[in-house]
Amino acid sequence: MAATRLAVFRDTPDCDIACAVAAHAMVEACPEAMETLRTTLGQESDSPLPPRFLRYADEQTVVGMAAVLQAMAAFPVPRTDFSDWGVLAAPCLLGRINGACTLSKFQQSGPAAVSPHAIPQLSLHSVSSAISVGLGMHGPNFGIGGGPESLAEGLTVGLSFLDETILPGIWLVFTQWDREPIPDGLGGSCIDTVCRAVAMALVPGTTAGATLRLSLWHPLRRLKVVGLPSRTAPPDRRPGLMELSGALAALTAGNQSARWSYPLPWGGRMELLLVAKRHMKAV
Amino acid sequence: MRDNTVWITGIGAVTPLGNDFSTFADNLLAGRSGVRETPLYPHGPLPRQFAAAIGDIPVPPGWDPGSFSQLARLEQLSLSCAARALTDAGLWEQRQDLRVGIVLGMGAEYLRVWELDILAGGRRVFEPERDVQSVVHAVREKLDLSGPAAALAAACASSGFALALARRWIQLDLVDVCLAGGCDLVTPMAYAGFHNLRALSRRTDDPEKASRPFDRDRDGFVMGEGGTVFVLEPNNLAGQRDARVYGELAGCGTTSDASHMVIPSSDPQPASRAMQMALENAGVRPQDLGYVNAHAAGTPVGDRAETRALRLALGESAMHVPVSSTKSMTGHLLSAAAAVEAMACLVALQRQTIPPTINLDNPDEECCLLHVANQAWDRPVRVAASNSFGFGGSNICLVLRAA
Repeated sequence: MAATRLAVFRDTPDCDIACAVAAHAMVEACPEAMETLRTTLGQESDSPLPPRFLRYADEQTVVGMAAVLQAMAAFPVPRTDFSDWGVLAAPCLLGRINGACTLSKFQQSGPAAVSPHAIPQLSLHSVSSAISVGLGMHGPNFGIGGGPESLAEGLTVGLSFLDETILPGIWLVFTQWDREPIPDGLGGSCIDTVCRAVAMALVPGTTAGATLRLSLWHPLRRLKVVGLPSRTAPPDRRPGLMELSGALAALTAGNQSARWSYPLPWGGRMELLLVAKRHMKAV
Repeated sequence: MRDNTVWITGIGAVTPLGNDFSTFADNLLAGRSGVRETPLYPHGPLPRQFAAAIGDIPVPPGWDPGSFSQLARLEQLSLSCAARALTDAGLWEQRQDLRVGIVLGMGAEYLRVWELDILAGGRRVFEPERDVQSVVHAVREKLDLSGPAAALAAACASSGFALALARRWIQLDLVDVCLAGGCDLVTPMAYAGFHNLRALSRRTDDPEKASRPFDRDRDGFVMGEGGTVFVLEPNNLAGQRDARVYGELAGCGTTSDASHMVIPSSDPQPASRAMQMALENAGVRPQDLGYVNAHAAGTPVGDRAETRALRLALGESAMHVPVSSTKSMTGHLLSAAAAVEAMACLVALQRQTIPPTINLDNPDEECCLLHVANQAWDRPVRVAASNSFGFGGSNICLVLRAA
């Protein structure tokens, strides 16, 4: 018999962390457009990215890098030095297309067919490392999540890791496919899909840009109820990157605030409140 | 005791040198190698393969062995370490009354999962609908934990970042207690990937001698597998329940080289800065260090780069602080390495004995440090540091202090 947990929450959150979103950007690319993006990034004369840097990178790394570059261009303070910033990236199921290709070659031709690029480019750290290396950022860089819960993990880790005494800011980057690709084993996908990335420049305090407030509620009591389906919702029913980018886009379009709430996989609840700068005192 | 103190009060481990703290400590201090011939391609084209492999994964107390054996191996490993850490800390019965978080270093979870599935005849990489839950969430659910959960990856430094984040969550009061560590497995494709990167030792004639950090004749690292998960607990809770403590996670420092996706930076500054940050964070001076567990995996470039970073960070104390690389015995446990090496530091703090670098017969002149070569040293150790560096230029240093 299936069982699920019902949670009872307090009125006030157990933990409230806020920081400012100084800049943000969203980038999308379908597989056909990916190669253009891969080769275009870094070709501009003023690009900080070395040429052909993304030659072996996974699609999620390519869009993640593009989103950070776009957000950097939108950063409100010109000529900001990002060299001490950290880079935290939460990809979702990174490396499926290239991993399937590598696995197929491995099965057909043995260990010699495994590309030396597979480990550095298809691991959970690959997106954050490529951004850190490519753009010369010396703060910590690491990957978060990697699975269907990457968004919740990334927001929780990103906000809690931003220690104002150590870091001037972090790039928090989310990447995922709109629909998970079904690999054709040759480096492509059998279905149409889009790879999407959202990059946010998080800085301590709430004095610049929009405010991102993460409130976490820990369940006061958890009741086990037999006869209900499992609480784990399928990935396509969970709030995704579209909702986050939608909230960010709403702010850009002049809305005063955007609220986004959803249940966390560990039984708690998260609420993100994005507030435009001029309304910050009302938070 | 200070308010921000975070204690390590429980350990769950599965390592090539033993599956509990005491056995691991005995083998480590005796200088035993966990490296063995490990046939991954019995009829394949690669030369003789060897690694520091683990055997059967211990079934957690109270778990049904039949249902445990049905789990994927990475999940077995993580669940075994996490459940036994809670039991070791004496928190198994109380885990549902506390906000217990979990952070695991998992560098390439899905590549491992997809590979092991396809080797078993599956097609999971082609079936996205099967990827509904990651290992860390599966473990959280099976242990019925209600705190936040996350997997982190910084390649070979992954579990160090997991420990740093868990400490931060405790200090922010995001959790009451946090499980933190890392797990990794040696798989045929991972072995081939590192082999093709020319990162592995090719000393096929004598596997036990192959992992030789800082030695002039080193030629790459030896893969290891296993996991270690700690229970991290704030001072007030540990004090209230009079918990047995292994040591304090006293400081963390993190930076990035921002230099290359694979090769360590020739500039020692970023790695050195991570060490200095960790010491500052712990409130200790270089001369207070009684031991440094080096990352030193046995690669020609990496060991020299770390030596330069250590000498820059420790200044005049560099030649007075004993240094060893326990990867000479455990192999390189990749995502789990930092956690296993933090446990080696706890061994030094608990036993007041410093584990050696075995196979260090002819120290490289460019790795000039105070090496603990081949034999453990009996010596008072109050504070120890552990370095971990990963592909992608991630650097982390953890400082651990005796209770």
